[in-house]
Amino acid sequence: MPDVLEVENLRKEYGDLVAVDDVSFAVAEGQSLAIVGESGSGKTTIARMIIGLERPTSGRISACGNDRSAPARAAGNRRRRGREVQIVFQDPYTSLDPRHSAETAIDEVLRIHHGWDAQRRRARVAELAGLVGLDARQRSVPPKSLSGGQRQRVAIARALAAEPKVLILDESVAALDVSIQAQVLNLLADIRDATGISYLLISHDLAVVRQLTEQVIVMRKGGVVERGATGAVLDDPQHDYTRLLRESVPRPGWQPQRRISALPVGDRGAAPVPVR
Amino acid sequence: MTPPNPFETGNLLEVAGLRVTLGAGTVLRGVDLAIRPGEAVGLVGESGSGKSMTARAIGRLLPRGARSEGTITFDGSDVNALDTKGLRGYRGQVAMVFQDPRAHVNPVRKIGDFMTEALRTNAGVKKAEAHERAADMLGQVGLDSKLLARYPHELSGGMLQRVMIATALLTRPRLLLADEPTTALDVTTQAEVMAILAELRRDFGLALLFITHDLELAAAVCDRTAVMYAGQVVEVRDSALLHTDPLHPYTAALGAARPDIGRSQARLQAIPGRPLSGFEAPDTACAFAPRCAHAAPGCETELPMLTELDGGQSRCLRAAQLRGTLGATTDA
Repeated sequence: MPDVLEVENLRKEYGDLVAVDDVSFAVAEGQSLAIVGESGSGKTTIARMIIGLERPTSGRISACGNDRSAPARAAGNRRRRGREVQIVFQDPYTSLDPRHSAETAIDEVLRIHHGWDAQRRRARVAELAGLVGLDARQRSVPPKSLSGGQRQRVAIARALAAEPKVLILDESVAALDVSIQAQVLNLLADIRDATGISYLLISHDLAVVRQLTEQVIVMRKGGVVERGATGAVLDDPQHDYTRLLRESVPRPGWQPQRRISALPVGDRGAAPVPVR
Repeated sequence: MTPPNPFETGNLLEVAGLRVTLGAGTVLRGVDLAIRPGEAVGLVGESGSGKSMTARAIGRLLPRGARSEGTITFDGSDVNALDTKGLRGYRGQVAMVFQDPRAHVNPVRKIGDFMTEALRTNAGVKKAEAHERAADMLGQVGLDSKLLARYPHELSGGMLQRVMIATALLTRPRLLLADEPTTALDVTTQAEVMAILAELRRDFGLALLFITHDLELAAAVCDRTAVMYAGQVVEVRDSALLHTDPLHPYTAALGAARPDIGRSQARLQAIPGRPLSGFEAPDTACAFAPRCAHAAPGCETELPMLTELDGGQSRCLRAAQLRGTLGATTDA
């Protein structure tokens, strides 16, 4: 399988801060890769660089064989990039235009990317809305009349309307209720079976990562500390940090360990203990 | 109805038949819950289930315009009947910690001011002594006393949440209401905060009502777990039995819907439909019936009551028939 997304020696600096440090990975067509790590590990910065919201300090990004390390200069180029990679963000409450119903939002993307006539677009809107399980009412009302799970389905349908090869899911199921999250994860699996799309899943939830991806990279402080097949990394983590992440997941009989001990009274002048 | 005597029941907190109405909508439809001294009880539910509203009712922090019925009894006193002075004493005994610590601090006041305010204004503790106690308590949660002179924006979310816990414990409460206190934190920070909470609970003999959407987290850290759906408690169970022997189909379905860190599944057992909130729920049927894999015709015509079963409680007409069959299976 050819790689649909390649990232090589990617680096992003903000002043003195190195947010992403020499990160490389590739995603093969139809395969899915997870990036796990905590806040500040650089995982969302990578997503933002891939879709062109941030410019890499150095390194190379390419999708479907086309370089996208520098901003697109022409509208046609920008549209092509939109057909290569799309993204669904974490917060379904702020990622949709409040004035647009699902139908309008999906139709807009179809108009921009496919140049179809109104009838064909209408048919495709219905198809996409059906694929993500939106009923007739949900398709025609503004986002404020929808629940979080329904909005996230609209965001997914809208992203799929461009028929991208890669869909970035940036904590896209984290805010959903458990019973809805399972529906959306099943939906994502169905879409992958039907279209051969690849997912780049950015998540802190290791169970979701296990469910949806074959490969994983673990990031800490901008760098990759471990990588491999998802099952192998989660079952037998090699890096101390991956082990710590794994042990921090609540489970029956879990005894959360206190790493930062109580400071003895009278010894409170010691340096503050950093967390996160 | 006379409040139950805590010396008979042994409960520190008792909530009975709690109904809360906001505008035209009923948010809580009769919540029953009890917490023994020093016990940790998890309160689990999805959005709209009423778990946060239950905590706010217990803390006497309901939004303006909310009407509540039913009884909340703490240490034998009727919480809803407390006057201003009584309420001040109650707030010293029942402390709260919320999901987003930044929404509950004043950004332009120093940590020390924030931490000692309740002690100085309510308990009449002198400023120097209040600071001394705040410094000690920061040490208990692993933070340096120099933070007293810092502002909230200088602290990470995990540090600030530990400040909130330290602050909540300064008045030596007997019950801590923790509403999603770790949801905004990274998993490793969550583990740290939970470990600190567990240790302080032991040291202070503190009872805990731990509100979360995360069934696994509640089951891992609480003695018992209450599961809420559509404004009612539908199950109360020893946490150790929650996965292997749940009493209500909703609890079982929640447990089965979560992806498993140990294996990838062909399909997750999603619960069809979406969670109902209290004001959408029917008064003459089980609110979960339309989504329930075990629903029978009677479930759509009769409102189930919370009933004792196998050492727990279940609000399911078929609970006795289904007993022992709802537990998680380990086969892949």
